[in-house]
This record gives sequence, structure tokens and C-alpha cells, in this order.
Amino acid sequence: MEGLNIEKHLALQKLWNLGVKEEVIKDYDILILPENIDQDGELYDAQNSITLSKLLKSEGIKCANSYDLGLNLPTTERRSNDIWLGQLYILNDIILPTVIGVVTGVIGPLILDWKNRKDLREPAGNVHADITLIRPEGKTEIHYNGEPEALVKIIEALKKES
Amino acid sequence: MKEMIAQNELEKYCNQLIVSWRDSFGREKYEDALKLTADFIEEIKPLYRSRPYGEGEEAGNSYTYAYIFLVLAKAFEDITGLAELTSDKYWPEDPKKAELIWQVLWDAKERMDIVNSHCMDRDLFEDLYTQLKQLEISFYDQFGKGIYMSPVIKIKKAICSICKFNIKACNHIPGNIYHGHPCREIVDDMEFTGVDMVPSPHDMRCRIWPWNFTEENKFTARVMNLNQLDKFINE
Repeated sequence: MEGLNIEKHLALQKLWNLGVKEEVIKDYDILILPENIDQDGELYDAQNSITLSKLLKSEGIKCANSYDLGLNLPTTERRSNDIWLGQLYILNDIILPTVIGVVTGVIGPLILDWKNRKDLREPAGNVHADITLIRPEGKTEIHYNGEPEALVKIIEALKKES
Repeated sequence: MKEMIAQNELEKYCNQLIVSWRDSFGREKYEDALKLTADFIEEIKPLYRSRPYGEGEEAGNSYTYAYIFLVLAKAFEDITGLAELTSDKYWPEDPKKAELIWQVLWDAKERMDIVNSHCMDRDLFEDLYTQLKQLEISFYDQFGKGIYMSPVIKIKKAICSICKFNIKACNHIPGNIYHGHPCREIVDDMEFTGVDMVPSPHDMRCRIWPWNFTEENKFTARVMNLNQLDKFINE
């Protein structure tokens, strides 16, 4: 991606510090990064991030997970009903419609749980995701922990901005 | 020895299970319904395991079909068992029975979820999901919403059950079925880092029940379920 200034983005700078070359990063449209990439300490992948990256690739998107970037990281599984997508770095906003479709598919079971909930006592999981959309004119960041359908609406709003 | 079902007959044979089971279950002939599912599993299991149709794309679809129906038959067995167990209206007063019903309820629901995207009879599925939901809600009425154990695990290495490569490296999607084989993450190296108590767990079977507390306020509860819902196929 032309014009991507790695120094301006903490997570990308950290990747660079870990030995991931700038030209490798720029070769992708979206990066699915460890959920704590912007923090100190041992890095780990979010439990649903690998499936998300595989589904994006199956849609023809140039997507990299930690393994694709040459990082050998553990994955944290919390075994709760929530979905953790990790940190999504969208480097090319053309792919937003596909990202929306794939994310909706991954969190679809939770959306259904919320919709079909007949009784407030029925457990319904939340979604945890940090999304950064990088455009030449600047970046938009979303730090999301909440019910699933609202996340889809928020990403759709990003698309309308494009 | 019984003759193996021909590939072009498999779909018809499997679909017949739905018709016959629905009929017996609807008429509350639970013994008949259980026999139907047991006979079906006994018939299809060796076929699924021996893969007699070869390994091409079409054969792969047949094995997927067989796998889906094996899991569905087991879900029917669960649902029939639930109907029998809850036929005694005093079941909530028997803690062990209530625990068993809760476990079978989630086995049934999760097996239904596995086959749901391949759903053959939408009305039947919606009807069964509604029945399971009603039973679930009756638990909340009787015992409250519940608190559940939820382990936190650090997976250092996991391989794909289909290609045996690092699960992060391949293109197989966990949960999808490839030529009759479900894709799973096989954990090779892990660290158990803790247990949370949560209101919305991954595994509803890990419920903390009030009767499992001792006078010293200690309790026993399931932390995680290692049994795969299709384990019966390889037994």
C-alpha cells in the first residue's frame, strides 16, 4: 500500500520491531493481529482471529494473520460464549464490504442468539474487536466490546464514509 | 452379513430416518423412536468408517451426508431421551436427574447446530429447537440463570485435523466438513492458565449447581467437556 507510514501506527511499528518487513506489511489489504499487539508482554492471538483470517482469504482478500507474518504466537481461548476477533488493521478500504460480510458470518451465531432470545436469562455472547481503518487522509479506530449486531452497523458506517 | 447401501440410495435411506422418527416421536412411541435411531447408527456407522464409495468429490459428498445424518440420529436419540426423562413432572426435584437432563439438552442442541446448516426439514428443526428452548427456560424458572465455569487456555501449538499442518497455516475452516471429516483444531501443546466463573459460557454443561456445594462451601463442577459430540461414530 502506497503512503502507509508505519511509524504512525503503534501496532505496525511493533510488527516492524519484531522483524516483519515494511514491504511484507504493505503487501496485504488487512492484518489480523494479536489482540494485545499494542501492549507490553507476551503477544497472543485472539481465539477467533484465525478462523476470521481463513474466511477472508477464502473470499480472495489479501489477509495476513500472525503466522503469515512469521510470528509464532500462542492463542488464548477463554471458552466463554463471547467472540474475540483480535486487532484488525484494514489497510485498503476497498475490501470493507467483504470484511463486513465475513465478520457478519463469524459473529452470525451470536446475532441469532440475541435475536432469538425469548427470555433475558438466556445467555448471549458479546464480541470483542479492535478495528483500525487506515486511509491516506487518516485513520479511524474502533475499540469494541458489546453485542454483535451493533458492531456490524459500526463497520457499515465506516463503509459509508468511504 | 447385511448388504452395504448403494451410494445412489444413501440420501433416500437417510431421509427416511426423519420421516420415521418424526412419526414415532410425535405419537410418543419413544421406544420405537430410540430403536430407529440405534438401528440407523448401527447401519450407517460402518459405511461412514469404511468409505466404500472411493475418494472422489461425489463420494466425499456422500460421506458428508452420512456424517450429518449420524449426528442428526444422535440428536434425535438425545431428544427422545429428554422426552422420556421429563415425562415425570417431578424431575426438577431430583438433582441428579436435573443435571442429566441439562447435559443431554445441550448435547442435543449442539448436535442440532452441527447439522442445522445442512437442514433438510426446516419445520421439524424449528419445532425441535422450540422444544429445547422451552426446556432450557424451564431450567431458568426452576434453578435461576446460573453461573458457569469457563477455563482460560493458552494454546501454544495446534494442528488441523484434516491436513495435520499448523492450524494457523492451512485453509481448512474449523467446523466445516471436508469429505465427511469435520475440521477440528487438535491441540498439541497447551497451558491451562485459569478458570473464570461467567454468566455466558462456551459450554453450558459447566454449570455450578447449588446441590454440589458442601457445608464448607466447597463445590464440584465441570470445568470443560473433552467429549466430542461425534465421538460415538468412532466407538
